[in-house]
Amino acid sequence: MTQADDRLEHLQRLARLDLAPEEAAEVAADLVTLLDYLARLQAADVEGEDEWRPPLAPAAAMRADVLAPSLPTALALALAPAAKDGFFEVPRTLEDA
Amino acid sequence: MTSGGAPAQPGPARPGASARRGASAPAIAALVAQGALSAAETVAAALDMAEAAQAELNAFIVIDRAGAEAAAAAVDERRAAGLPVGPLAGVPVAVKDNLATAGLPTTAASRILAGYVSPFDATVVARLKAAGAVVIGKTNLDEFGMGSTGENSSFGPTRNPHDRGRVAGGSSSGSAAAVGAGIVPLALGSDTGGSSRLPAAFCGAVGFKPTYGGLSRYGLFSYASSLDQVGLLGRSVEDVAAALGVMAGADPRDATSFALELAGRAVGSRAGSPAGAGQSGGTQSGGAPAGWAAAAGDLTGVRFGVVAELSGEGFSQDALASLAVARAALEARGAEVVEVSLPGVALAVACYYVIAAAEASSNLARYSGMLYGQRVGAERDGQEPVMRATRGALFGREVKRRILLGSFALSAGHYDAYYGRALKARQRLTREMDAALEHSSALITPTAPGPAYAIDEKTADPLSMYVGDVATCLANLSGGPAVSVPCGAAVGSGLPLGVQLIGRAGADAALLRLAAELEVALG
Repeated sequence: MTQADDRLEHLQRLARLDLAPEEAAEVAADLVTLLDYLARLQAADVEGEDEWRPPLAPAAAMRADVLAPSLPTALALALAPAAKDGFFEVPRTLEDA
Repeated sequence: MTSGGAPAQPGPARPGASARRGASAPAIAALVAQGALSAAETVAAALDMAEAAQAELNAFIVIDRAGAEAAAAAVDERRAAGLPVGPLAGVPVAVKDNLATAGLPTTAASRILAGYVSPFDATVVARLKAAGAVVIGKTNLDEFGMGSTGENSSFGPTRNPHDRGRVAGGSSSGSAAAVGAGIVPLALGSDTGGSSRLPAAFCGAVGFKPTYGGLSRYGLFSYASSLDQVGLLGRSVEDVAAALGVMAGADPRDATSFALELAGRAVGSRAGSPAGAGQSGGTQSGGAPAGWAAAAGDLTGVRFGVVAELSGEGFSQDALASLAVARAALEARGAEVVEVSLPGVALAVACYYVIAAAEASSNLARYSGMLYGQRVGAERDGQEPVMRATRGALFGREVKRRILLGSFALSAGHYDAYYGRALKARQRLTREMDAALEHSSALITPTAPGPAYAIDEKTADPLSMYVGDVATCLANLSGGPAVSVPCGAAVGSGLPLGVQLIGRAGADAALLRLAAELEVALG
């Protein structure tokens, strides 16, 4: 396994995303091309510049703590692969104590 | 996945259908409100056209005949009962499939969301419906909005209504094709780097991206949160202005939204209400909703800035000729057109793709096979292997490419060099654009480097597709509004071309007014 393979495997682990062996080489080549293009950012003089902020963003504020309707339970559960007693039923992730 | 099949031949002719093909949304609504036209007949004609064109264009992921017919009948019943029917009464609209629509599949054209049916409406969809508009279906797109051609869809590419061998443009490919083919006068898209304006230009439609925060994003599937906006596509500026009027307004469900100033006063905070600035509401519609964006015919004293960096290299002769036509038309109406320089344009595409990919890698982490949609792999293998298998198997190539690129840009040791620098370069470009807009009412550029690409022309070389966003991504980076207006046709092929106007943040109404002037000046 080469250093490039290690780097791609590291990215796949960060992204929780497996590439099939036949596509890994193509994606790796694409990423090399794209990163080569994006490297122009390194040459840009942006010292002293602030990071971008939305021009007309509303001031962050707490909303009023009032009761409001929410999604009905039956509707929320309608797409669940499995439901039980009004709850989502999910695979066990912890062993019994 | 369309209802009622997809006949290859044009649908049956209905009385008046051809005459309405070119009617604006407010004009249709006025006829429906007066009882001169039924919503049922109008919507049925649009459904027939959508189904007839589906085999060739692949513009829709879902055509909802039953739902649309029921909604149209409800509009007619309200009118018959003397009740208000709203300023977009009976207007058939198409909605990009990355916007939530209650009771309909909402897939973002991704296999990872196959089978997902939204339990709620996006705020913009709810407001359109409350104004009387009728959703006829969900339109095709590049998966999660990632693409400029409309080819990155798990449902197959959308084809251009002007040439089936060409792309419709992306990512709002189906919405642009539906408007360009005359199926609907109005469609919703989204616009992260030009995803409404670029396909609009390719398909001969108007495409509009409001100021960041000008429309609620509640129910829009997140791609790149600092860039994403809901986009509008229409036959004319009047159509998108009418839709903006009914959809604008702060939404308590979207903390980035604010009350956009239209017609000299802000649209109030509300949710789901059909009311909007410059409208009479009720049964009166006609041109009223778009009245604040109507053209006056005289541009004396108005200055436009042609961006020097987007007026030569990288743009085809067709695109430059289109820009020259627009310039001459504006000058003939009394406008002054000057050249402005934005040096930051040289970094715009790099800046845009670093930020978009980084934010996408974070936003799409939710599609893990744990909370939404499909899952691949045996549960006994454990959580992380199932996540990796699910995302690897069900995301398309372009989505995977951007997630991996974004993961790199945000990873330890690279954050400052990529994402951090991109945010600073973005701020510099924004300052340059703001300075140029202090002396000009709008900046003007070609929307795209040329006419629609051939199918498969860009698939082997993603970078060549990315750089085609150079003109459109500017407004997403700055946060200001921008609109693409059809302007001329390519020599030989006759394919549509578009020019783009970019305005000051918050000055959406003023920008649409200028776009309407340009539209009239171009004849």
